[in-house]
Amino acid sequence: MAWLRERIPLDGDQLREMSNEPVPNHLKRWWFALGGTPAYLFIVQIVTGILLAFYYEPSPRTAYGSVKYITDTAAYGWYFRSVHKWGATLMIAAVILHQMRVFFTGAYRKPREINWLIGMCLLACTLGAGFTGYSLVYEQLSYWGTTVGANISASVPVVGPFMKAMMLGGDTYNERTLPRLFMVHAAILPAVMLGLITVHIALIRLQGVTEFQFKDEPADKPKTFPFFPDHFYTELSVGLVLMVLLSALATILPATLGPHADPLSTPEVIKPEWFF
Amino acid sequence: MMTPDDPESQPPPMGDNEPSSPSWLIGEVAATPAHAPDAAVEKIDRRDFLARATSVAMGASLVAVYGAFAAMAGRFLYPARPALKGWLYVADVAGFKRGASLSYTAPDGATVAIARPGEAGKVEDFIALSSTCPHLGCKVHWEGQNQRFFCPCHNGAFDPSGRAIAGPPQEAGQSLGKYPLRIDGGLLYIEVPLEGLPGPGEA
Repeated sequence: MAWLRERIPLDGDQLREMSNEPVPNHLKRWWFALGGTPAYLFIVQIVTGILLAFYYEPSPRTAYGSVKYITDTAAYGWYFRSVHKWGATLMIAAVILHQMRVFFTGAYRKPREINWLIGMCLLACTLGAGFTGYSLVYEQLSYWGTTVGANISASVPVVGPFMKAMMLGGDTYNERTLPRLFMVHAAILPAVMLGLITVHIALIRLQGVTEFQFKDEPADKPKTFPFFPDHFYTELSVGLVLMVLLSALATILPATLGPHADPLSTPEVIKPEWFF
Repeated sequence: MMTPDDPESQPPPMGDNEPSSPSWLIGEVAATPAHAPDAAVEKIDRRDFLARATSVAMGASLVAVYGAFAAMAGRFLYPARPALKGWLYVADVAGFKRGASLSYTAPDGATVAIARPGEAGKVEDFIALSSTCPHLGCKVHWEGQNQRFFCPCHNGAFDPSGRAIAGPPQEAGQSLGKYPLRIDGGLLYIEVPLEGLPGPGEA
């Protein structure tokens, strides 16, 4: 221990000092733990995404087959794929709920406008990750979803055609489209989101969490409680509940695999994911 | 959750238990502490007990949930099944004369040298040599002018029967691996891996 202490000069008191963020009392209400939920789901997505990337092969010839291999052959592949899919769904829902909470409590007002904008960027990145991730499956619906999405972005004035060409790596969906979508999904968006989340949390630490006074609270009650261990335990519990919820959803409603993408025939019923 | 300002978490101040004791008794009390058994047995009130039970439950849940997840992840990353193998037709035994040899290409692209050193026509009279060097897995090739198999990675060499005659394989006493052969109805079969990466031009 002494050997380690000499090389990493950090003791318990310093750690306590670093984590000693006073948390306003209203965060004892579960409704307000919604900021930590997308952050936790982001970690779940990173972990399951790394696992899936061990088997996923981003090319039109192999993508569908590799997703099928993950789903049918690899041990617990169906579980990790389903948790990844449900994690994305819950993450988008949690981000929107968190945004609604901040909006309706007016917590975006001065001096927190920049953090609101960073949050909006995180929402856009989350939706982008959902779009690119769904494209990677290369089944009929995901293929045509990508095609339609690219053409919608092409309708944006001035920059539209450029955006579409950047997205597809050409004028139409081609051999080089999937590797491009995969890089955006698995490297660029996660890196950007990690950076934005870091700044998002840093600004919260700098400005403190907005404090609310509820009617049923006595005025002389202390307005904050320590982050560690109280709020930390809350977040741990939220994580466990989410893990159980994700596993239950993955087991009861596992991710399915539609027919292989066919660029020559559009399916009868075609609709985007619910969050679009 | 317990906090430092919680009055119940503070130990009772020592020595204040018997404020009525006369001061001249202090030495005697210290010598024979009447309340020692009480102090030795740790008192746990309901709040303390619940706090500890919750911590234990939390720890157990964390280990169970993330432990199970990690175990599943490990199983997911380990190959799902052993490499597929199968028996494939090589040649007609009658047409494969003694002393003859042929080069066989397995589905994974590996070349196998098959020879018939024996006369009788039983399976023992045939030999199928792997082209994978037993040293570190490079591919050997046949050098007709030297009558040997040669491995370019570390200059290993093998005689026509597969025995190492030079390089690291000889020092380690290794031979080229042999594929299982079978004769069925006058036909020669070989057991080879069915999965593998195709070579250039075979994709």
